Amino acid sequence: MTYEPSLIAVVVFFVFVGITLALSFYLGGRAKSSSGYFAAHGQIPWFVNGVAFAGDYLSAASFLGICGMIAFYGYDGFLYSIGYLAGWIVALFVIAEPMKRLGKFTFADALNANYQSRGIQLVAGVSTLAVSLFYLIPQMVGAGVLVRPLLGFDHWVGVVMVGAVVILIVVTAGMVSTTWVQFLKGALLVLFSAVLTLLILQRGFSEHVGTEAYPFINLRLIDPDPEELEEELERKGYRVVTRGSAWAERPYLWLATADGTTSLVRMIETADGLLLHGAQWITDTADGRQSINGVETGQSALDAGKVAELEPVGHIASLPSGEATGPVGPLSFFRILSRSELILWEREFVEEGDQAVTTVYYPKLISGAQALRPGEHPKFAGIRKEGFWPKLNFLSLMFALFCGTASLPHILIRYYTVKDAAAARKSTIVGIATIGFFYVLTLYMGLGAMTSGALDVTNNNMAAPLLARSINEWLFAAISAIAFTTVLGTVSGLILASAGAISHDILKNYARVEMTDHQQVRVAKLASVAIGMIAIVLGILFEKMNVSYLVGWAFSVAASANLPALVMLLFWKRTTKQGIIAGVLVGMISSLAWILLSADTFTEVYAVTRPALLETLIPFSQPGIVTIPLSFLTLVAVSLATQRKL
Amino acid sequence: MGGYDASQLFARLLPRFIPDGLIRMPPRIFADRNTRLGLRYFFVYTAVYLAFVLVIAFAPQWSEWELIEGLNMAVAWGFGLIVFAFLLAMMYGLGCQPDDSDPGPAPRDAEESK
Repeated sequence: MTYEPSLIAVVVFFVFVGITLALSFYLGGRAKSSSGYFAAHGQIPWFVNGVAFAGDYLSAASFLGICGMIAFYGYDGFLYSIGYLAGWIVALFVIAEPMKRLGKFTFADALNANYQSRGIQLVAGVSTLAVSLFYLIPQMVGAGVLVRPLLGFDHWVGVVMVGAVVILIVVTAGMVSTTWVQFLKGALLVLFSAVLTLLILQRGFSEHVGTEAYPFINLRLIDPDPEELEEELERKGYRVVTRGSAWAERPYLWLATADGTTSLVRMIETADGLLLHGAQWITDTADGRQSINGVETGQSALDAGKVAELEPVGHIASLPSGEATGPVGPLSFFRILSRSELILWEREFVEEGDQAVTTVYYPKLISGAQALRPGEHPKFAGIRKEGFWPKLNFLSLMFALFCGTASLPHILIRYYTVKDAAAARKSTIVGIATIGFFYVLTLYMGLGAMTSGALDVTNNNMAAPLLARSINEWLFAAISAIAFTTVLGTVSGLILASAGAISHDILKNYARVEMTDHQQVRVAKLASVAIGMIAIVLGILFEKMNVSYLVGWAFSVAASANLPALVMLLFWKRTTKQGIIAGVLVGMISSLAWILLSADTFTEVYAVTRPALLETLIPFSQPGIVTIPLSFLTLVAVSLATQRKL
Repeated sequence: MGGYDASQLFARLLPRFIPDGLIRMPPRIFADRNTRLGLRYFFVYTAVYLAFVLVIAFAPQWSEWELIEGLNMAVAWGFGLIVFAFLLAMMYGLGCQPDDSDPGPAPRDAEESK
């Protein structure tokens, strides 16, 4: 589908960014000392900090990725919501209190508080950098994905824009402005999501929703006689045509109508017969030409007055009552959905003759009840299989999400921006409330998008903004701008955490580079610019990767490297500095290695065949369930081996 | 709520073959009531979360069971975990005692206390 930049979206967008920058410059004068730069003088009010937690945490992955996953696959995306939120329990009940007592500015300081070890400073700084970089990539990719359809620019433009704005914010004002940016962003995101959810409920369900719903061929045949099928279709005005042997064994029909249009339909078996539903296709020929839904792209199409594009999708095939429902309540929303039939979309490739490849986006019929249960997404399908091993991937992911939140360096650093432990606690509670409420909304938004008739079948990240557009254009403009500020806020926090790791942990504490406070701030700013530029490059390189997958990556590394060290340091007296160093190193390296050698990475990044040996060594893609305990054990073993004799 | 000795907690949790000498007196951190409260709530929540994860992994058909019309266990339990997290957090906030490290309320001026 072509995205036409909406003037409203552009204006609202730039107004938002303008206000953010203005705030940043205004507050910029205040943060001149390093304590001010890094930890905002320890004076940010707890309520503001709490909502800023939400603004920081609800990144592109939460808003775009989860809603998109739910919109295309159903319940499974919600598992991420649950896992992410549950991680806050670890953060609040296990880490928050003790952490506040210990540290000064950064996570490395907290780790090092009792040991004064340069080794710890270095290792913790490196770990912070590694996790922050991996978490930055999906945010930058998210920025590009957002900007392209909104403003009509290419992916790389969006990435560069985010990078530039964030570098500007971080360099001018440090933590204070990022906290206010994130407070603003968090509050607005939740507010507008609530409005969107209300409008979804207000709109209710119908079989033809949305301003852009495309009328696909939708024929239901009761007990059709296969011999008579072609005649039946002729009676309805469709002539069956053939198109090559590649299609012979597949459940498709090519139909032509009297006006010369060709359509592709998928044959779907239903309880009482057959459903023929329109599908979409893109054909790429060997000589570089492309046609979309039968219309060739390029000038000839424009001349002929036709548009070569994919149509928006996502609707209900049949409602329980057979007619539009009108406004629904939050519970009857689920009742009606579970009794309906839905059309979801999948993709497959068909190799035709002459080296032409056709990408087919085909519909599948699914009951609402099925969409509302776990296990429909390909990465979670293992839970419906027999045996223990297919389920390990799911278990490992839920474990990593649970442990990951408390381990994220850009979240931890926020504990130091309030003045005492009580305030840290209160702000975490506010954070949990805000984030939890938002995650409840993601389920409604995702399911609303699923039935809105406005989804882009090639890109599930756009589901939430497109849903908004199908309801109201102003809302679409606002939500897109907020989503963009979402990315701004998260990226600022990450760059700050990384800059702190470089200037404070690695340079000042490990390498013992002499710096005045003022110099340290300047070094941090330089580091911010450098990291920002690296993030821009990576965001462009990783354009094709799935945002949620990358975030899961960051969570696994964080949980493996940081959490065991933090927990054991806080709760086990016999932890030694060698144990901590070993634990962080082993956790970080093992989780990175596991991910880089996993089946998912081979398919999505390297695109080569994976050696069979790896299949035995690394049978599933999520490392958490192996590498987190490994890090714990390493820490314990090394600590016991290096106990100081008293 | 009587406090409990965290070393007893560890002793109950760990398998017996780990020699006693390995886990001795817990660090001073357990003397802190707030920390103990937090850990208690942590274990409660973890149990509920773990149950949720295990049901989905090993008995996904249970998650399809409809609690009330239209609302299946998967959705209800998911919402429940979110709400429960917030409730526990609130209870924790209310149950925590002021920290020793908190600066006390600013001393009143002599003129104020008449």
